[in-house]
Amino acid sequence: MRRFYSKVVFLVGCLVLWIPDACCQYKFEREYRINRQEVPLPAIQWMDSLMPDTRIRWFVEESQLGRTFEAKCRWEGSRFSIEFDSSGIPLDIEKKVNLEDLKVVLLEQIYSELDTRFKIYRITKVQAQYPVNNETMYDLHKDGSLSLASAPFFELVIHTKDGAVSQAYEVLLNSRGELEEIFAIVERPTTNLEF
Amino acid sequence: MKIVLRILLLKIGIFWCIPISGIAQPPVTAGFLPKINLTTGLNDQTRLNASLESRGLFYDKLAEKSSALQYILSDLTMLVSRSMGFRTSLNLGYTLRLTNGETIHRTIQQFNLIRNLHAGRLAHRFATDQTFSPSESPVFRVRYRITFERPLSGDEVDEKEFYFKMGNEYLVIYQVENSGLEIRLIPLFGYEINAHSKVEFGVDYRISEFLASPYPESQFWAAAAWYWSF
Repeated sequence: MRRFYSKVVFLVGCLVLWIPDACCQYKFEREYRINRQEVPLPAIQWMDSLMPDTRIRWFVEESQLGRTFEAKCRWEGSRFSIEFDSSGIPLDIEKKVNLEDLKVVLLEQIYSELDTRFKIYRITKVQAQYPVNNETMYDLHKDGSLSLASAPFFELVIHTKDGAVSQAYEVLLNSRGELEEIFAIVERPTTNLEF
Repeated sequence: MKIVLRILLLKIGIFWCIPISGIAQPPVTAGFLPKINLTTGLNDQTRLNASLESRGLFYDKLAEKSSALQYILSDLTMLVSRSMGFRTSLNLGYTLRLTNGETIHRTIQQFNLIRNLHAGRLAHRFATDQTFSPSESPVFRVRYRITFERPLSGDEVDEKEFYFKMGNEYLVIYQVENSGLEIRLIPLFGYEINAHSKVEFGVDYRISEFLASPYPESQFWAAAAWYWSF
């Protein structure tokens, strides 16, 4: 009897494994990689003129706000992400930076801003955001870098802890370290890495 | 990131070198390893995880027989997982193993640590378990598993996208009559059906009996798993 029961358990296990999941959740943002041929020509030309001989990975980002293209690359030792609209016009430039590279005054303001909202937190990612304007382009063409002092916005990813509850946030701060936007990051379940 | 990958590759390199040395005909078994894994949140800090994993054997060189799929066992596991903060969790649980004519009990303790990488995730699992069966003396195991997950499109896995997952686990096993070491290498391809459901397929390769026998025993399992969080 026990042997029979064990076989039933095994068979049910195999069968349920193949039942397709019928429910689908709406997701607000999706990013996937595309080939260079699928990117609008103005975006390719813009990138080639700005960062020649650089390996560029192209992505599409779909959200409620629309469909944009994103170029990601390493250039002059930094990690860049440049967003384009659907016709290939550049929208903004993001550069990954180290927290320690920010000015002490700005850092203090950032910590002060975060301290008012969270008891325990850890900053895990910092990106400087630049608009695509004459000043940014002049800096890029001049010496291939962007000054942190000229960044109007900084995007931070922070992991917070309240008791045993942890939550990640994406925080947008201006150049004075004042909070502009904050929203919670919905993290993917980690069950397949834990169990 | 580069350092982590180098360590992982070094580990894998060492792992593959061990069984090659001086073995003419190592004992080999092969089978099917399906798993269903369900997780639900009890509150903000606590989750309940239940899984059913079965084993079916279709090749057993050790027993000098090759046959159609032969049922071996089923593991019913229940874990309570408590968040400890920044992507760390403590899991405590119990496994009921149903095998031919025997019921085996296992208690489990796990500590998980997960980190987001620029593209992908890295997970460490430290675990101990104790197995009790009516026919054998208790088995005590200390385990460490490192798992790397990388999306095959983009920097983050979105729904309806594939990913690659590589697991590497080391088990130190203590039993009065048969202690030893087991190493596992688990390369899997996954598909994210939606934010709460994913399937994985691949190979679960295990090599053991390093100390007890001059010929380490190899096990190849065709692994398939379905994870559902609700």
